[in-house]
Amino acid sequence: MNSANVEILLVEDNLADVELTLHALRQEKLANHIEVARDGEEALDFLFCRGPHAGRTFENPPRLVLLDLKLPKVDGMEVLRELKQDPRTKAIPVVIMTASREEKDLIYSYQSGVNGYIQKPMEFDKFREVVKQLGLYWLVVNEPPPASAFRSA
Amino acid sequence: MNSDNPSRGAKTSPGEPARVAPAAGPSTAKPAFRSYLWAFGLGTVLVAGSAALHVRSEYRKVMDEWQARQSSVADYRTQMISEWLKERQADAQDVAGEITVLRVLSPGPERGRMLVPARLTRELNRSLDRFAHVHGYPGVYVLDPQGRVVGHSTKAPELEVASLEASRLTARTGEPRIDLLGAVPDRRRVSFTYSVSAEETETDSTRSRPPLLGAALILADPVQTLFPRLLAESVPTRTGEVTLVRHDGNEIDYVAPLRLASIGATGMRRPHNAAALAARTALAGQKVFGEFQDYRGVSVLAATRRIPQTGWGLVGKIDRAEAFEQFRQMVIVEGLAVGLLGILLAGVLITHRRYVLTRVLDREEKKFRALLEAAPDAMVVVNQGGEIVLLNRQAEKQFGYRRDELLGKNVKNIILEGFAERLIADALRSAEDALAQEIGSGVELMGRRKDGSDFPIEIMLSPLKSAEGILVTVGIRDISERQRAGERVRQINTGLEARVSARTVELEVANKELEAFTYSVSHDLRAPLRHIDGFSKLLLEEHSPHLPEAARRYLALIRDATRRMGLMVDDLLNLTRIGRKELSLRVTGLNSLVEEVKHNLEPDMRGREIEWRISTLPFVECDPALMKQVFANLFSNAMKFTRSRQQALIEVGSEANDGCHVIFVRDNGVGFSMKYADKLFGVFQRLHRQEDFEGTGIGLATVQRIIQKHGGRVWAESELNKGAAFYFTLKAPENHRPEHPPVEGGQP
Repeated sequence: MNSANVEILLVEDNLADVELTLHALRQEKLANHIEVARDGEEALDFLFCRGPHAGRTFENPPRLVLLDLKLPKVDGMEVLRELKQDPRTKAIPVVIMTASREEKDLIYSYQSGVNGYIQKPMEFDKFREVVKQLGLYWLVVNEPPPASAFRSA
Repeated sequence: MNSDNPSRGAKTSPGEPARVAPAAGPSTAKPAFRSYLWAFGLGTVLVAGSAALHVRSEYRKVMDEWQARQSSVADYRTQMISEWLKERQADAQDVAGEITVLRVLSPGPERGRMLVPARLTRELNRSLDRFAHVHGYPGVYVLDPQGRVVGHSTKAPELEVASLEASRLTARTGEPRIDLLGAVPDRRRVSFTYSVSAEETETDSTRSRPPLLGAALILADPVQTLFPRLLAESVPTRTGEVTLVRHDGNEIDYVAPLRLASIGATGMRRPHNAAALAARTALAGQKVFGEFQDYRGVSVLAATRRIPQTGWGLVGKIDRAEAFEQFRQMVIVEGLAVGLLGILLAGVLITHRRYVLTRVLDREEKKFRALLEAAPDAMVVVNQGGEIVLLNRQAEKQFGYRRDELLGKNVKNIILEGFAERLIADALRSAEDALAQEIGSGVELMGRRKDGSDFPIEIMLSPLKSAEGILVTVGIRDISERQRAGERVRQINTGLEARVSARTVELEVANKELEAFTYSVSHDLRAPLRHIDGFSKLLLEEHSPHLPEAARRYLALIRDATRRMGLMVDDLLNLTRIGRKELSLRVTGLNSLVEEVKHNLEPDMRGREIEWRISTLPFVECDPALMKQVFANLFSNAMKFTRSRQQALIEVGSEANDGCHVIFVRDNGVGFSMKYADKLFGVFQRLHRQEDFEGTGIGLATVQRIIQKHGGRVWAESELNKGAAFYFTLKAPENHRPEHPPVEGGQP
């Protein structure tokens, strides 16, 4: 996979969720360039171009990060915070997609600079609809940040 | 107790117990003392009065005595002088009647002849000399009418002009004369002249006086014969004196030598107008006795007389000082006696009063001490300087001192700090203030025992008016035990508090764990449910043509079960969220809230005939979001259980009750049996079959949780098939009341 063209980074530890999400995105023809990270550490390696992703550059970030909160190793909140604290990554749109809609999670996420927060709907039809709208909005409707937004200082 | 000595005074000296005179002492002693004062005053006046009377009568007596003495002295001397004068005059008359004198002076037959025969003159001189010698006169003279000496005794001094003049006058008028000669008393002479008249003849003297032929003159010497007798005293005195005075021009001439004058014989003269001079009174002819001044200016008691025929005055006098010497001594003695008597009397009175007072004081003090000793606390009486003047046995015991070790010591020795300041504060107030002050409330301080150990005390002060000024009674209570007890109570309380807070922490931890567990379970349960639903759906969508009818039905059942479990998980999550959530209270009008909830439920009301009866509801203080859940749950229940009714009725109303609002939601649905009423609000408790009335069994548990969080109570009443009513209470806001009272069953 050409990592230079990654459009969505899906951070999700649960394989079933990964499959259902990818299924929904694929149905909408939005899953051409999707990178899946199975835990927070993988996600951070990818986003900060290190480890296995050392070849990547900050100038080519994903168009959208779909981030689960409950993750092994480094949880979603930590990933969000590191992302939004670094000038090279803070412009990347991040939407949290999680089972919880705890108020403290909402508060913390928005205070950390999240761009969207979605509770995964229980029923699959609704879930599919949400994923479709997300993909459409962030990859089609929304104007992405320019490359200069990802430079430090 | 060595302090019960009644003879001790009220004054306190260190180491000696004070005499505390309580207020009762003076009140009983005072009237007695007043009568003593009266008696004392009366006695003093009587004694002094009688002494004065005595002195006065003594004075009179002295005066009378001296009057008698001086008068008799004066009278006697006057008489003596008069007799002396008379005798001399008689001598002069005798001389004048001498035959030789007559012969010498008579013209006789040889009238006109101026010269007296020498023989006759010799004979006259001899006769005169004999007379002078016999009577001791310095000189005896015979003079003719012209004042010429025709004969004299031998050694007779030459006559002065005054004598010549006197004899000429006598010869002319026939008046005998007495004249004092000489300026100096101890050389004085007195001349006595007597006229010599012719011998009366029977023939020519029927009534006519015989012709005067000349004068006889005797020069007498009073210095030798008279003056000494003036001063002779039958009772000798120091200052008794008789003075003889006469006028000489403007002056008073003291004739005889003076006993008391330092200048003695050189002659004493005083101005004629000198007031209070006894001599002056005598010369004025007054025969009196009284107080005068003598020639020295000294106060004297004097009797004044006049010597007849001479114009001389006589004063018999004695110095007042001598006259009253005995009297003065008597007065002094008497005064001393009176004074001594007074002092004695006063002493007796004072001693008696002190004795009485002391007895009263003793009695009072014994009472006071008994009270003091009977006090259960340590009692110490201090004066305003902080000195301990009295203490009881308890005080000795408590502080470990012997009584005499504390008396007179400053109270600071046993109460280290805080007390003196209070005392000073008390002293600064007026005594009345201090007395008016109620018994001081307890002040907690530290006391120090003799062995130096400290212990907590509580002191109470009360001022006491005494003979020594304001004293302060200090009640001292050892509060060690109380403090220990207090400390134990505090420890127990602290232990209790610690245990309670530990329990609370434990409970909170358990609660948190429980909620975390519930949350996490619900949270994690959702994911597989989603997955089951998701893949069932995908299976149906993508492989439907290959599935038999039964498989599709099973898949539909799986999805339905999944959906219900999802609902239950969501409701459970909601319940735990309410448990954790902080209320955000606002004053909320329930009518508008109810309308909003009703509006949200409209999709479920489609195809239903539901009559809503909503009364005017109160404003309450609540969390509006949670209160919406309450009404939403209650309304959807009501709608659910009235589904079988042709005409559903849902009533919402309120009643005021004890400052609370009771809100109710009533329906005419299927209701429930009251014997299950206690199960109604439990989680997952259901009273109906799932196929009859869907639901998770969490709705009423949620309602109860919310109402309880608001401090309210929730309950239900129902009768099977006749409907149910759910009640809950809410607190009324402090300052907000509904404008209209709620109307039961009225339309909104």
